[in-house]
Amino acid sequence: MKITCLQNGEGTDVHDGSLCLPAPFRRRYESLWSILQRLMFFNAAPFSVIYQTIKQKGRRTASDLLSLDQIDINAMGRILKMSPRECAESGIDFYLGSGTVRQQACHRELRYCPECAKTGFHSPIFQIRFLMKCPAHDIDLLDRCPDCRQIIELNAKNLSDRGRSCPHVRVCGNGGRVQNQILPTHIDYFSEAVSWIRKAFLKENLADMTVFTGLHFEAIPRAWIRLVPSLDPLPHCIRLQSQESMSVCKFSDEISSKTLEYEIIQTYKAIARRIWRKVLSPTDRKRIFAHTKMAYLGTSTTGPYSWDADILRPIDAAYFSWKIFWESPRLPGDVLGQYADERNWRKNLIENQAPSCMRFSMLSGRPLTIRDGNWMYVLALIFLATWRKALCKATRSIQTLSPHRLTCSYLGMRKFVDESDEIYGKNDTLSIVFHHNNSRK
Amino acid sequence: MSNLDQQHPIITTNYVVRTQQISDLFDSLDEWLNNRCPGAIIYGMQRAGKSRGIRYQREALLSSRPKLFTFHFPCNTYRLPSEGAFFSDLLKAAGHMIWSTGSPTMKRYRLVEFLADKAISSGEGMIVLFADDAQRLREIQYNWLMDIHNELQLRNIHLIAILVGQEELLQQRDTFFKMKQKQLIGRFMVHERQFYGIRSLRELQQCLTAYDETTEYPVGSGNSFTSHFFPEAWKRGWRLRKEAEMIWGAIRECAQEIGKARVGEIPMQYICRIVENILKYYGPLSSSTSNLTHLNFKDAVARSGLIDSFRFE
Repeated sequence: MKITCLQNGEGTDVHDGSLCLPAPFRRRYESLWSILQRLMFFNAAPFSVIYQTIKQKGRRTASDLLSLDQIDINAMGRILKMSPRECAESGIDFYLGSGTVRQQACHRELRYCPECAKTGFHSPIFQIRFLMKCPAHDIDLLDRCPDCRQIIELNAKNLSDRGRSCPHVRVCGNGGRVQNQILPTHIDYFSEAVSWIRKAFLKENLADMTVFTGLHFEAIPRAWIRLVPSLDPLPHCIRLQSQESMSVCKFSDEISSKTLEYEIIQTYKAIARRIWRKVLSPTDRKRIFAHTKMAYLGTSTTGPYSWDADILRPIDAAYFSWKIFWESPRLPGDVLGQYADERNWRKNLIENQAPSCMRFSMLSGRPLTIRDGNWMYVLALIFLATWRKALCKATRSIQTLSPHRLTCSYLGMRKFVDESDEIYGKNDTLSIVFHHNNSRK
Repeated sequence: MSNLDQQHPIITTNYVVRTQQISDLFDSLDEWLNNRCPGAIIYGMQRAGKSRGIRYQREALLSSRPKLFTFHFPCNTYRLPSEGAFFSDLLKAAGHMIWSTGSPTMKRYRLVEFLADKAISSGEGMIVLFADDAQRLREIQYNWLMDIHNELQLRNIHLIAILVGQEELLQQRDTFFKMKQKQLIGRFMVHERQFYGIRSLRELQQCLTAYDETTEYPVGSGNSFTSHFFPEAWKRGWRLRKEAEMIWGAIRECAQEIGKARVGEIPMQYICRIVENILKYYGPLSSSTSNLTHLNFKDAVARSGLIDSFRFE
């Protein structure tokens, strides 16, 4: 051995120090939550101290232990002697990406496999809603302690320093020393599920091309399997939608759900502006603006129609009713989606124009199907039709001859009434049908 | 002077010369490791180069056993030995990131887990601890070290503690023997080896040969330290070892000047400084011959501080 310079031995050891995580406890697809728990155990240190070593600079609290958003991956890799990919596998982003679908597809409470919990193992994929069973053990995932029935939030408070105990030990004390046996076959099963999820979400990018209107993404849309043959077979642990009600727009116009939502909102805003400027007089606008400052709006569960006529004029009630109908539940796209699966959905949507905000907040979310047609035009008609309906209800002076021909001469709405036939006449499908590349009016 | 020259080990003094006794020491160390011997003493006079020797041995071990976990534990002095401080020092030396937090019990647990993990992941099943200035350790600290040793032993992991220090270590061993603390002696002090400086002209020649042959800078250049500073002379066949007699003579002459009739052991630190002075001050890169004179050597010896150290022997 030739002598050159001496290595800076001591300095290297101290400044690039590491933490103890024995090799048998380094397991693929293990969550950050689980790794932190094990680090606490093997390093005999509280969460706050462990977290200090791997957090991003400037972060104070650990509000999210599901993703690695608050973690310095380089530091984590250096300290635990893990590759960047191994580190990434501990966060949910590795499986679902970092888009908004993550919020809809993930449980914030701890979900675990009781068999894996015996080995102290928890994976980020357990938090995914459409994963109903443990890929390795093929048993249902639990979201509560089987003894105390408590939900366990996925946060630092519930991290147990008894790292070899089951994850709910902190709640009910139901824990014990466990083996560290994760068999290679178990990892293979995990790999299979992970590979499928990553293919659907990251490679094919299907989530970004799908319109999700429900609160949660509970099951994989059937359209995904139908339209992407390579996604078949579906791992047995993943839940598939019972019926095809959510679709992918990629295959007709390659428009992303984000773009679609944006377009819907823009259309809605255009109609709202039109009503505000063209339909409402300056006096109406002043009065309505004054009402928006009052506390009584939005507090009644029966809606504007039950409000005192002395307070609101019919057009005011119609305006608020219409706004509440489209905006109060979530977004215009959500409201459309709630009706998308119904037969005669357009008619139902217009007929059921909100008597109250409460009614619509109770509706379960429905997905929106997109197929063909000039969707901007159709949407505009729908928004206007619901406005007209709201106005008719509010004035109580409408002479409803039939649902197909509403006569309302009030404020020059005749034009839209005539077009209602066209709207109703096209409801041969249960979907709003959009084509991105069609000419829009 | 170029940037490369400023970082040259001769300038930074950040190097170790592989002398014969360092090679012998490595052989002993290798044997202790093969025998899974729990501990040994390496003792020597102050400034003999023991600490540098440890660093060399660690790097040499890394070459022969790449996965073996070794660490250099500087034994710090405390007015009162405390368990927390002792384990903190050990954790820090071992490279644990959380070395200052927690109770002594937590630190002890953390250390055992950390060392066990290192030993198992290396596949060697052992850890080598070099305790520098180990004469500072007190009985209680040896007992704490023994606790760690025992806990690791239960997991079939061998902690090999190499105590490096001054000759007081031998006195400590005698004291433990008298106090019937044989468990400490049995674990850490059975084997011993002396670490000495340069004691003769022959050893000085060996040392200078190391400068000529076993050194290299920059890495992979094939240039020894000598050839770097005397390139032209080197090409003509000049070697530093050929000046060994002159240097030894200069040392003896300087010693006689202050009334020291016989030169005994010379600490390695001063030998290194003498050689560095020769290379730095009398080795212009452009010179075609060494042109070194007796006065140059005497000057290099005087600059090294060796003569001053003789006054306190």
